[in-house]
Amino acid sequence: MVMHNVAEATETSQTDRRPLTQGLIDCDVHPLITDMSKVRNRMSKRAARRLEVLGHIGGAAREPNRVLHPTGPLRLDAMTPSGGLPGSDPEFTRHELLDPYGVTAAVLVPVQAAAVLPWGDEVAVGEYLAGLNDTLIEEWLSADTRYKLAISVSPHDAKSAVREVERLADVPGVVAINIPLAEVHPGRPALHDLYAAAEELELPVLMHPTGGEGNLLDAPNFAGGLVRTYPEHHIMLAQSGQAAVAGFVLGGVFERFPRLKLVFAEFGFSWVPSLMWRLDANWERTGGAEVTGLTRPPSEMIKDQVRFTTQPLDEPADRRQLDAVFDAVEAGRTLLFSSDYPHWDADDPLVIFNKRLPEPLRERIAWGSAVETFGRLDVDLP
Amino acid sequence: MPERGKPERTRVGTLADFAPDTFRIVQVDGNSIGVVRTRDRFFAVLNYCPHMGAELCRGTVSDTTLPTNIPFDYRLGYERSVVRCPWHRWEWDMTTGEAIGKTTSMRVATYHVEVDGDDVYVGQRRKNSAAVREAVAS
Repeated sequence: MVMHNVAEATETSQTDRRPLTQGLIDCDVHPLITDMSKVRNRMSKRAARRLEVLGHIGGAAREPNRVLHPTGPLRLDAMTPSGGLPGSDPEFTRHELLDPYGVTAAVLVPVQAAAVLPWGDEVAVGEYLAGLNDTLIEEWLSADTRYKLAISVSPHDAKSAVREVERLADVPGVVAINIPLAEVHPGRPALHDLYAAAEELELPVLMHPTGGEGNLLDAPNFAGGLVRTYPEHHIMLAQSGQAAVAGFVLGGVFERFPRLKLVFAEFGFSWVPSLMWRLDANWERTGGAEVTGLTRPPSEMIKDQVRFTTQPLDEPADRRQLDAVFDAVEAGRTLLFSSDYPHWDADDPLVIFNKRLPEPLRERIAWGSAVETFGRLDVDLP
Repeated sequence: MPERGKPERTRVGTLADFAPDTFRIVQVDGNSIGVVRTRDRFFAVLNYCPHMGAELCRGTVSDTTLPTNIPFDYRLGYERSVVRCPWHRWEWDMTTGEAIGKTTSMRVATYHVEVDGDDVYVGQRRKNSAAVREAVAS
């Protein structure tokens, strides 16, 4: 009988998992503040009291959350060594994501901002989001310069949002503006002041599913009615992405702000070609500029000014079918890599780049387009 | 060299080393393998999810709902023989290596486990998973 040496594996995955790219900018990584007193302590007593009443995640839903993930929305291997929730420790995220995958920069997208969607107290909204932003700047941006932050602003009050953007725009590491998508038309003039500030300050506006879609008051509803299960909710996120992109185009936002960049994170992108075709067809058939005020085809606006993140990369049984989508969206311009770490449906950079994406697109999707999109990224790349 | 007539195997610990439903990750011939003791059985699977390469054994050991074509028909089965990937929650039957509900033709590699006195050994990779399943069922 042969006896082999048995070695215990190390506690985590510190093997080298760098993809075959010269850089890697991960445009959707999630931090989590678990000790909410850090945010509350930055708020006025009155506003903090509102936070206590409303809760910090998904408070004031129209009913108990009906679309909870059956086995939890977080990666099971991303619990911290001390038992902290996934995303709660910048050191552990560095150890699990930045170092093994060779991440050049990770854009932090705080989903906790979405709690404000159903809040009626707009002062509390502003104070809570400012507290969340300051806590993340203090705890995450100082932990590693590779962390970059999408600061969160109110979707309810453009003036408050602009004030917050102006307050933090020059903080090193602040690279984007995160707006939790509310049940409003994003092209409406009420929000144009925010887009003007974003354009002026070279900060792209980033949107990400909130988890409240079809469930939380003042979050977007899905066409077809309330969903019944988590899978329905997860699939339908593409729907709210489509509605928002169409809203921006037809609301004239790109006409008015031709240097504004939008990032749609985690809404998917395989729906983008059909949306562009339908927008173009309607634009042409209804009289173009004369009817909608748009002077160029919607597909051009989208390719010039909207970026989509790769995760969750669709997985057709025949992967070649994705090539047609890459071609139609001009993926070398419009797609940005994202892992969605540490959420349950995260994509592995090594697998995505080495096995799923066409080789000629790798560098563009890994970092090239991200550097162009996030004007304040400040990274050292070829 | 292996002794004639005996499968090659690797000692991976004693019975006391295996807490219930908790994977112990061992390196055998360069492979990372998760060994787990459930209520009444041992399983060993390659610590690699065929879907996207996650370290599978950082996931959970559990029952799961039986495949059904009836919506909202929740009945548990696969008593403590399912490993659920920590990433995308793909579920694999550790007795056969097959995906629960045969949702994919991909398989997780499984290995023989032998208990010899107090010692636990990982043996050769299982070759015919369907046959193993029949043997377990019988």
